Amino acid sequence: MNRADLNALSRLAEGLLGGHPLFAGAGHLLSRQGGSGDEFFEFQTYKPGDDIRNVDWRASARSGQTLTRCHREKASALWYILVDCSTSMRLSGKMGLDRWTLATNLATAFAALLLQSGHRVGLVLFDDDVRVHVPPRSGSLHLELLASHVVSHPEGHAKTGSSVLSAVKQLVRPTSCVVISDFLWPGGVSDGLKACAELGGETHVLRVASPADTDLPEGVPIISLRDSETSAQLSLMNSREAAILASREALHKLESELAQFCHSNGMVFSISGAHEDWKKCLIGHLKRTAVARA
Amino acid sequence: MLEVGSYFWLIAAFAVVPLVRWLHLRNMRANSFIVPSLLLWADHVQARSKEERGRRIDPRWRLRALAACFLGLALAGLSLRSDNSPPITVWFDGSSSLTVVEGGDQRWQQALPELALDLEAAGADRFTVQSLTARGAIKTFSLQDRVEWEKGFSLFVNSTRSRSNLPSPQEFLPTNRHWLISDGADLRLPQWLMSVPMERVYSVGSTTDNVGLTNMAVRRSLSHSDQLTGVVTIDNTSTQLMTRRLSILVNAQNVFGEDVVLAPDKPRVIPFLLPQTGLNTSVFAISAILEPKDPFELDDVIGLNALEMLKPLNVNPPRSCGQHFRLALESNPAFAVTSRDGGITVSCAKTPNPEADLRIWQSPDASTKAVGPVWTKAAGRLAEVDLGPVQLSFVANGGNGDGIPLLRTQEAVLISAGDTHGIDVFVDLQAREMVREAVFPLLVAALVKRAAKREFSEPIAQKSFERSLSDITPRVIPVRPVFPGIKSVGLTPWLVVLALLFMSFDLLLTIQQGRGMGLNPRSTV
Repeated sequence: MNRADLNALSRLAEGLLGGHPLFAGAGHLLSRQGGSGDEFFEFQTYKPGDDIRNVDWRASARSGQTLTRCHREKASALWYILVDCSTSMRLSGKMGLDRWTLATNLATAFAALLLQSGHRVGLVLFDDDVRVHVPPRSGSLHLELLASHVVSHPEGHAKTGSSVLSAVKQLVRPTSCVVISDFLWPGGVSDGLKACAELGGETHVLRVASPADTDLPEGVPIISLRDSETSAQLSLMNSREAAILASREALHKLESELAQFCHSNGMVFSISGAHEDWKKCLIGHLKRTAVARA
Repeated sequence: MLEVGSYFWLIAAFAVVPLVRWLHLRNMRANSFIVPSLLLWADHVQARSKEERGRRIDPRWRLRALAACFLGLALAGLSLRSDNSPPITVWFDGSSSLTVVEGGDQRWQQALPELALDLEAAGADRFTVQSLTARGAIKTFSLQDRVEWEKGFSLFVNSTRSRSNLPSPQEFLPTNRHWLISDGADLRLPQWLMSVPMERVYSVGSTTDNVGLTNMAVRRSLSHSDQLTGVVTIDNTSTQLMTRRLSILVNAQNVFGEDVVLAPDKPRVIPFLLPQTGLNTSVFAISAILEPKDPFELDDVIGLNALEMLKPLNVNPPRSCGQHFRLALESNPAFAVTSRDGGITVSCAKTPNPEADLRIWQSPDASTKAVGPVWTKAAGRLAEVDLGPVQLSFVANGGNGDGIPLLRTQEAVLISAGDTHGIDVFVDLQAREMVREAVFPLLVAALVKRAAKREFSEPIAQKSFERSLSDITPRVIPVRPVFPGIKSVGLTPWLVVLALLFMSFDLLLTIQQGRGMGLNPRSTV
């Protein structure tokens, strides 16, 4: 990933979103403080302490009271990128395809785009608890900090599976979230994602899929399967093929339910495969964002 | 009762069970595949997977553990012994050396603690003690009261001390267990033990040094009739030079003393001279004492009653024996012609009393001249009487041919030893030619001495021990363990068969389940 790619992606995103600001974010329309903005918003009665340069003398003459001009400020929004760093995210599938690499690329790209749009961006790495919490900042220098945390973070050591709830509890309203995970959470995803939505901002859900989710090696006598996070171990009853088939069906059902849940809760949802290029995945998600806004 | 040949394999047999389980657990982990989440594979099993964690091990581990365990037990050499403990006979070596005092206890007492433990371990409620050397001495003790049986054991030991022939193998009951308490000082034991079914030997004793009195003899002095002359023999059976003080006591009065230096393993004879006056008293006890005493005190003292042993031999010849015969006896100080009982009985008659010790055959008819009489080899010291120039005559038809000839001619037996006892004399002891000869009293004395089975006419008081009795050196006794009467069944073949059965069953299961490519039909996913 380099800056040229990010600039190109930013332009592409602007185009996809029809000139609307990329990732408006929470609080975009809420700042009514005068000052840096150019767009007129409304007149307000002059109060002591207001900048006298904002007094609209003509409107004051017409109304008989001292009025000041209030401009819409192009305020920065608060964004958090929540990345699942549990062990299941680190498992490589066939041909060494690694969903963790894709997840880190997507997280960094999102952070870059958001920072470029002037937002303040924070980072939370979580498994069954918060492992890394980088407070939100703006500016291009902050991107390097975020990227370094994401890339250098060691493998998680969750014992009970991932849960985004503990991470969300630390965030303050209004906050928009980008949640990147495999969403193979033993406790279900609804509570965690609902908590994100209740933060008052946008919620983007990116499931990073991997062939390892539903694959078993061939030619090896497998007696049992072991959960990468809980270490729970179960014996196989059926043949390998039957077991794979059943797990794929279960995964398909899980993804469908997740998509339905996101749609009904106004979240933008996309699935990226570990074998896909991160740019393609990001563009795909931006397209879905555009569709959702339309 | 279960007996174990090798405790190492016994421990290994039981240790292999957790080892096999651990190996299966490890193997299960090795054959498990890590998936990102079991969520996609089985929701309903996950909830109880932890509870069944231990049960998810391949159940065939039990078969394999049992097979390995039984093989280990087979290697341990297990055997089953009949619970009916056979009777136990404890043989006691009656050698005097068992009384050597070491550490405050006599040697035989050192074996009692171990013996008590072994008897308890054998599950016996009673046992029999039998003397190795005192025939017929046998006693049974109950083990209920240890103090009681140890006391009885002590009494038994003290009453049966001797050293005689060892019992033959036939005297060992084949249904009994036989144990022996001995110090091995009796040199006959090692070879004897090879022929008897002895299971166990309690070897006792550690002291080897001993100086003992093995002989004391006293007689009247030949030169001084009022004195007694004597000798004692002291034996040093140790391996080093020893010094002792020898004291001779007469009627508890010390009459002689000498410091003696004794070379190792060499007997030494010490002569001494005593006044004879004591013989007039009722008790004339002579004893020799060695000081200081050593652990084996029994041979540090030797004593004899000289009054009894030095008195003349009573002889009671009837008148029919003739005056010359009587005079010949009276002239010899070793004999007392008396009518009191005790001593030698003499019968002189045509047909002498067969119970008499000396039977002198007489005949009213003329006796026959003996031509060239000679002593036979059986005559022994009788042959010292030189009858060369004497003209002997003998009672015709007197000898009936029985007995052992002592003096004979070509034609007849003149003197013979009886089959059972006594001596038959067919020589005419009243013949004039005979009684005038100087050899006559010598012949009479020799005949009486032979009849009395005395080596010397003059009495000698003597007491002696075998030199081997003073040898107290304990020796290790090799024993070939024999377990007579104990039925023991080896369990090894059965254990091997069981192990093979379990292994076969396991193999069968493996073949059946192998069709499922190692998948476990017991799984619940």
